[in-house]
Amino acid sequence: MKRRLISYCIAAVTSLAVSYLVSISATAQNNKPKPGAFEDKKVPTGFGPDADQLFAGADPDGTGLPWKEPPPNVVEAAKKAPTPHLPDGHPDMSGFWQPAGWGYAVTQGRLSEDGKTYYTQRAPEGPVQPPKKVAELKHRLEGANLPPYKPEFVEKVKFLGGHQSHEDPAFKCAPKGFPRVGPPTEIVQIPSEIVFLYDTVNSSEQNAFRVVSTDGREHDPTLNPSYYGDSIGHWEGNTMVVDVTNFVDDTWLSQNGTIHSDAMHVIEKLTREGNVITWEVSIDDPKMFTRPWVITRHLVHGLKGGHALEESPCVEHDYDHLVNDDRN
Amino acid sequence: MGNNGRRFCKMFMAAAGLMALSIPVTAHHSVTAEFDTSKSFSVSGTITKLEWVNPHVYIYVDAKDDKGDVTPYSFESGPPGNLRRTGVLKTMFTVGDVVTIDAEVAKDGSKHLGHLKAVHFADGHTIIFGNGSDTESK
Repeated sequence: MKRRLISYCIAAVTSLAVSYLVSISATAQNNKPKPGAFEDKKVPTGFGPDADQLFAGADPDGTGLPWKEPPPNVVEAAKKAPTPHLPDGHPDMSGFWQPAGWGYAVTQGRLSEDGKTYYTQRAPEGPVQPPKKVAELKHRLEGANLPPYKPEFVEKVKFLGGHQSHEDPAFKCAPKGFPRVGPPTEIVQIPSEIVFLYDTVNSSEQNAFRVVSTDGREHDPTLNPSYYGDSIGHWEGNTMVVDVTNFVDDTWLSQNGTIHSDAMHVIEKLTREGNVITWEVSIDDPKMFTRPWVITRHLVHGLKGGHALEESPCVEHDYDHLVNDDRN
Repeated sequence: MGNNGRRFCKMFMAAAGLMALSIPVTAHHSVTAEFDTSKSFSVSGTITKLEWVNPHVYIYVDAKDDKGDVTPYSFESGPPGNLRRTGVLKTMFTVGDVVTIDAEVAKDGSKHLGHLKAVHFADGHTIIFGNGSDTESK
């Protein structure tokens, strides 16, 4: 009798312990999204095969910049939509625009069949830079539309570009600045100003935005020079023309060591036609360029359900561990 | 093949062409500027800190040896936004988790620093950073 009681007790305690452990484990698992849970919220992948490729579709005109360009047929189709206007009569630039700057490099991960292993599907890098990467770098450094430097700056730019891992200020979390930050990802527009918000989450960059005054004011000569410059906009028909001046001289214009002086002056134009913004920057630097460097991209409105802009703090840890100049 | 089919085919070929030009990147320095991706090591321990920031996320792990001595390790991967879009969220890791981490070694000889290849959790599930050689490529 006593022995039976003891065995009942052991069984009861064991079963309580097991159920407690199971409940702890279940609670822990419930609180932790399983790998792949995020697949329920598919992030729009933009145009073309950019599933795992940040630079896919980028740089068709050889600027050395990663700014993407959608396929021409997509641009032409989107232009046919009606152009919305605000009550003040100007085109409505508001909304989410793609494929902007660094955004929209998306891969959805994959869960193994047994449900236990989650692959992020970012292609691994080999021990040395593969020929494809070397070819891409060559494309980026020798493109047809690179900044038109005066001869005395060419060698310095080439050196900096070749040592980007060690020399690029943005790699140490300094702001990329404008125009390197690229086209806006999201635009908020009211009659007196337009706000450009930038997707910087794939980047060694903090949160970035620009406020473009459109209320008729002039540049403010008391402003200190800045990474994104002083932006004053006005309308020319359907085009918002933004005059940007007063830059610091320590940002690069691209990944290729492309320095500029404090005399840089950028004219940025955004023309809305249907669901397309034609975005053009004309970058002049009378101290360093022989002529303005002009780059054009098309942005397509939309992405219903597109992701909200994410906060992107930047804290650099591994700069001291870099041992060579391999580049991305 | 009808017009639509031909158009699709053309678009597909254009897409394939773009893909051939493209490379995977981390938007920061090259992995191979810091790590030797041909050499790996594994560490078992407890996650002590998660740092989900640009340009690289960090997972910090304390490993305890047979004598009870604790060695802190740090492991890095890509930018948080990039990882999020590959389906890897910070909430998939918890301080206190007991994990085994596979990582690539630092080229500068730092013994307690690695580039994340995989995190194996105590409950049997694993997150692989990159698709690895044993999986089909997209």
